Amino acid sequence: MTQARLSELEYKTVSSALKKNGVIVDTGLATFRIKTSNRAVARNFYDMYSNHKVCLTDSWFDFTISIESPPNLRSILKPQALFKLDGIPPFLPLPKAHSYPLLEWGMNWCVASHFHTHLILHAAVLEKSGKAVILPAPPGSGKSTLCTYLAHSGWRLLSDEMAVIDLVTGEISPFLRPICVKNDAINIVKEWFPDAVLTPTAKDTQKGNVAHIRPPEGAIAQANAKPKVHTILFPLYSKKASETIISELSQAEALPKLLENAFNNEVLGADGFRSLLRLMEESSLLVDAEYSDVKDIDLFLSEGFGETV
Amino acid sequence: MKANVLETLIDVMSDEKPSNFEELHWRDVIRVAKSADVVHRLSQLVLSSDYKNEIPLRVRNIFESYNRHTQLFHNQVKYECAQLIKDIQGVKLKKLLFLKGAAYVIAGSRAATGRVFSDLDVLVDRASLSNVEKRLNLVGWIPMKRDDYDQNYYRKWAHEIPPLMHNNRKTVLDVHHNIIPPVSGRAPDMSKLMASQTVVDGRFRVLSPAAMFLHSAVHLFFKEEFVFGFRDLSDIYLLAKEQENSAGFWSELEILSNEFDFDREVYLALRYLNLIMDWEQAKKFEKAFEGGKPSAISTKIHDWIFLRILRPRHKGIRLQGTGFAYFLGFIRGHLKKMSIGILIYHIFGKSISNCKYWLTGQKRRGDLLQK
Repeated sequence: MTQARLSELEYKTVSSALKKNGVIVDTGLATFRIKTSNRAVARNFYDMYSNHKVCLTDSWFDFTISIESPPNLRSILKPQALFKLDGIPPFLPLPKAHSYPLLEWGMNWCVASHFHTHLILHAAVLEKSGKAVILPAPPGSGKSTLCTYLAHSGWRLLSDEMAVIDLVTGEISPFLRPICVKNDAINIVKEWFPDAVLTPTAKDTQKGNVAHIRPPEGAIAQANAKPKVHTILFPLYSKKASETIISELSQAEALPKLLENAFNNEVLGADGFRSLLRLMEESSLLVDAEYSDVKDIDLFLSEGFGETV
Repeated sequence: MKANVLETLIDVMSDEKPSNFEELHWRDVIRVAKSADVVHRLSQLVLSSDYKNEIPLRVRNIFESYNRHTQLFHNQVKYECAQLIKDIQGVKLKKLLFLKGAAYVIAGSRAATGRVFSDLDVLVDRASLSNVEKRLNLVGWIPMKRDDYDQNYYRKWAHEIPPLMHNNRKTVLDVHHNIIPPVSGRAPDMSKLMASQTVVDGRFRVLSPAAMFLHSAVHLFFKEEFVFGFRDLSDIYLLAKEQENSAGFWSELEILSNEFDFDREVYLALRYLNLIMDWEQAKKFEKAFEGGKPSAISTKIHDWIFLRILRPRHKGIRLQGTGFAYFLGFIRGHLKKMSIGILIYHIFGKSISNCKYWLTGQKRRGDLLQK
C-alpha cells in the first residue's frame, strides 16, 4: 500500500488510473475508489484533491464509485452523466455539464447513507485549539460561504457538508472534501481569496450555479485529529441585517434545529437521539447567528474559544 | 478478486466459521455480498456469531451500519403490515396472507435475518380480489403501471394485479391471487394451499413453514431473472435449516409438494442447497422428492445453468459462460410460465417500451420503485 500526495503524481498517470483500476482517495473519514473516463471529472478531481493522499494500487476503500455515460442514444444529443456506487446507479443521470458536482454529491450521499456508526448532521465543522464549532444549516443559509471564510482565516476545516460524530466517543471525524459554493458566493470567494483554487462553475444545477473550492493544505495534513464539540452555531446570512444578532439557545430550542439537519437520525433511532442530547450537553455554547458580515462570526467564535482579538 | 472470497461468504451464510480474517479479504467479501443483495444478511450473521471480534474493526463498523438499516426496515415492515390489515378491515374477504420477505419478518423466521426488500407481497383468494383492490384504491393505494400494455399483461396472465403504491408513504404493494401465473398451467388450487397457514400475534396470517419453503422454492425455480438468485437460495437455506430437526415440517412439505406437483422445484432447491450452500443434510431430505429428479442429461444441463446463476453475480468471481447461463435461465423461466406464443407476444410488447427508453432516455413510467 503506497500512498502519495495526488499533486506528486502526473496528471496523465492519474487520468489513466481513473480510467482503469481507479484512484483510491482518503478523505479522513471514508476512502473512495473513483473510476471515470469523463475528462472534466478527472481534471477537476486532480485540482480539488491535489493535497489529498491517494493510492493507485490495491488497498482499503469503503466505496467504489464512478461517473459514467448512461447507455442510451439520447446521450449523443443531450449528453448525461450517471453516478454509480458498486456498479449500481442510486439516482437518475444529470446533464453532462454537471458531472463534477454529481461526483461530489454522490460522495456525500455514500457517507450519509452508510456511516451509521456515526450521527451525521448537515453542517460545516471547523476547529481551533482542539475545539470544534459545528455550523448546522439548511441549504441557502450561507453555511458554505461562512465555512470558506473561516477555513481560510485561521480555522482548521473538518468538513463543509457534514458533521460526522462518533456515537460512542462523541468525537468529530474530519471528512475533508472540496467546499461547494453557490451562485453569488462564487465571486465573493474569488474576491476574498484570489489564491483559492476553484473548479469552473457548473451552471443551472438543482442547487443553482455551483463551484467547488480546494480545501486548504493544512487541513488535510491534520486529517486524523478528531476534536470534540465546543460550540454549535446555526448561521443565517441576511443581506439586510444591519448588525449581527447572536442569541443563545436553550437545548429545547436547539434540538428541533439539529433534528432538521440530521441525515440519519431515523436509522439510528434512540441511539441517534441520545447522541444529539449528548452533543448539546458537551457544547459550551448553543447559538443562533443572523449576520451580513462573516467577520463578525469569526470574531465572536474566536472570543468564545478564548483567543484574544 | 481471489476465489476464496466466495468461500468466506458462503461459510458465513451457511453458519460456518470462516478461516480468513484479513481486512482486504473482507472488503471484497462485502463487495460480492452487495452485488448479491445479501450484505445486510452477511452483517447480521457475522455480528451475531462467536467470531465477531476476530473481524477487523473497519469491517465490523460497516456491518454495524447495515444492521441498523435492517432494524429500521423491519420496524417499518411491521408497521406497514399492521396498516394494511387496518386498511382492509370490513372488506368481504376470506383471508389475506403475507408472503415472502414480509412473511419472513412477520413470522420471525430465520429467513428474516438481514432481509431487505422493496415491496410487500400479499395473497388473497381470487374471489375477493376485486373487493380488496377497490378498497385499497379507495384508501390511497394507487396503481403504478399506467401503461396499457403492462395493465393488460398483468390482468390477463399474471398471478398478481399491477403493483400498487401508497400515495403518502410510497410503499409498494403486490397483491397476488396465486403463487405462480395461471397461464403456466401449473398454478396450484389456492384454496388448498392457503389452508396451510399460521397466524402470528392473532392477526397476521402467513403460510405454514412448510408451505413457505415450498413457495420460496417454487418462486425461485419459476423465475426468469436471477440477478439475486443467490439471495433467494440463501432464504431457502435459512427456511430449511431452521426446520432441520422437525419431522412434521418435512412430512408436510412432502404432502404439499406431491399434491401440487412441485417435486421438481423442491428437489432442485435441495440439490443446490447442497451444491452451492454446502448444506450436506439436504442430500438426506432430497430422497423424498426424487420423483422430481431430472434425467441424467437434464441434471447436467440444470447444473451447468444453476451453478452459475445461483452464485453471487459479481464479475470478480464469475465463471466462464455465466452470461449464456443467465440467458438460458431467462428463456427457461419464461417457458415455464407461458406458452411460446404468449412469450413471443410478450417479448414483442416489452421490446417496444424498451426501445422507447433507449431512444429517448425517458424512464418508463412505473419504474419509480423506492429503495
